[in-house]
Amino acid sequence: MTGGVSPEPLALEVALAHYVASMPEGKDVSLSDLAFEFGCSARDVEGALESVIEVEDRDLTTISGVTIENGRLVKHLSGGYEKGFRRPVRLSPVQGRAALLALDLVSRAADPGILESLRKKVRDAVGEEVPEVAYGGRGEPDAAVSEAIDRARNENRVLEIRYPSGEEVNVRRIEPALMSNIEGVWYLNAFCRYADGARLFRLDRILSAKLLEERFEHRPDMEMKTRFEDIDPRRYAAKRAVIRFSPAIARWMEERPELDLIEERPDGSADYILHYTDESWAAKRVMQYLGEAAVVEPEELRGEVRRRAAEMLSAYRGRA
Amino acid sequence: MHNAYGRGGILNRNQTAAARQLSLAAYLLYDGGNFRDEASIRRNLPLYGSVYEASLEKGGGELASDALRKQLARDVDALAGVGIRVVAEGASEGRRYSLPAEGFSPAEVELSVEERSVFAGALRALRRDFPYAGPLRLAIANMIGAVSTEADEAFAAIATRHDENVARRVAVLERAISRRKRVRFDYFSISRDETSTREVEPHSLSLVDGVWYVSGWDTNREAVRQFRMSRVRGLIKNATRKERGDFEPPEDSSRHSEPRAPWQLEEPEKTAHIKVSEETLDAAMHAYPGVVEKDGDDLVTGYSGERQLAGWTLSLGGEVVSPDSLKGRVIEGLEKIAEAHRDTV
Repeated sequence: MTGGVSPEPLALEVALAHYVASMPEGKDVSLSDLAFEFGCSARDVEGALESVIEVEDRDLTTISGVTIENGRLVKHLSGGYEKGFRRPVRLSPVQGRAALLALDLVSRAADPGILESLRKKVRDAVGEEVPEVAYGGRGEPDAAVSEAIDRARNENRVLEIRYPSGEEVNVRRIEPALMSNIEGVWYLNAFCRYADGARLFRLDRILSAKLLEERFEHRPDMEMKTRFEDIDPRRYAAKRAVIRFSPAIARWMEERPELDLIEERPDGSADYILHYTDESWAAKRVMQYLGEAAVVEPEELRGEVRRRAAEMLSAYRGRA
Repeated sequence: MHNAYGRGGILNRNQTAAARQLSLAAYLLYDGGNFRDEASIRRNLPLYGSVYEASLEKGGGELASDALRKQLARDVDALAGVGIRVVAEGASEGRRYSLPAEGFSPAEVELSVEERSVFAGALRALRRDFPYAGPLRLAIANMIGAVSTEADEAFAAIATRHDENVARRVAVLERAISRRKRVRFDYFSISRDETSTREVEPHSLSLVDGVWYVSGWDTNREAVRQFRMSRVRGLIKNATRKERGDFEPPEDSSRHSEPRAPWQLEEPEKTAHIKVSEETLDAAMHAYPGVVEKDGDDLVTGYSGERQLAGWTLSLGGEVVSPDSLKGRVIEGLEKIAEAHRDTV
């Protein structure tokens, strides 16, 4: 692991002592494989194993029953660790945080009941209140859609979805395979029978999902897209608008992944491209800037923003 | 002094400390939760024997017992730091130690096949630059044994834009949070369009929409602030030379570990009621747990940033019920929007 969070002192040694205690007699494993399994360098594993091996009883006999030979860890005999260290080990606070965050990250792709029970077991395993890494996201997909996808994947059932494509909405039968979360946005890798090929669907663009009785066969050679480099989020939007941001907020927009800068203007304002499929979503995105953002084109979106603003103003004034 | 010789040569100080701590845990565990006094520990565990003997040569029995007791106290702390709880009872001479099985293992540990596969799948799914990959692997090794990642079918993939700087900052801040170390870094404030040095007592990390943040007490501004890690410039440094404990953790830590809503970057002073659709309310409560609440059909939230909350209200397509000042801010915004989108035809 380079650049990542390192475990607390002693955490690696304890995990390795547990591993050593669980090894059957006669088994051997290379230090580099162990390093991979334990998420650290081979040198770290070797250093920690030396501590594990060094533990002696009163007769100055080592208790581990293992040695390091030619870059491999070899278990010769059951040792003194066996009785206590075979049991699962409590988690350190950092390990607890890591496990809970990992569960949050996969939360859209796993059964909510299993996740809840796992979260409880992890918290119990740490034993104390751990401050967790808070996890959140704005673009939470529709719960009913997620649930249908989850069941379809578990039961190999065909799913019928309504999905916008260009100006129209298509009904597609798909065989869902894999969920991916790329930069906080969920996608579904699926075989699309309508397109007769592997396709990626953005979860928050799926308008509805219906579980069919028909089953599908797993397609082992289907190509999955799971990396940021694989996915251009813009391809999943059908329309584009030009939005002009006032000098007061223009520089804030550089960090927005959904916007592409096209021009910085002499007065300090800037024009960005916004990609979207749903006009009302795009209108709300523009309106959140309280008039510091304006649609340059297309005219339909300008009209939508105008119409909404007028409607809301008259609602406020009507109640005043 | 008795030197510790490992199979690979002389152990360094940290390795010897780890071996000594492991030997204590193994010895007490083997004893099934019975109490052991300091004399049996030093007689049965050579690495404690050598601590005792080294002081004995210098200053006699009392000093040696004292040195051993201090070493044991530090080692009990180190074990507690990774979750293993040795129980110590009694004072000075009569001090005794035990490690009951539940101090080493959690009570309920059996994971079902499905639960194992969620963990194994998470490990596969997370990219190698997931900053917590190392501790996650240890957590899994501790709970279910080392997992071969080929064992399970992938079910999800989590990717973020590869950014080693952010991963490194997460690592530094994680350490600072657990040791309660005050840190100093240069930060680009986008609202002021300037970079300044900030001194922060970090309380918690959060990952929202794939973006890492750290929240904590800004000592110059005397307020809790949230910082986006990609706006940190250069290295994060410790503000003091102390090993740990520059500050006390906040009393209400749950409040600080929630993702901070943009309208709550400072302590909220007012409460807003906003009318939104039912689905929007559910989604908002999910996105900002503990920040957004439900009151009848209305969304309720505390706020300090009026402009941010007014903007968020419009992004939800909601309507402010109260207070009037927020309502005024939204109306002002709507008038500006209407002006900027006037029908030019």
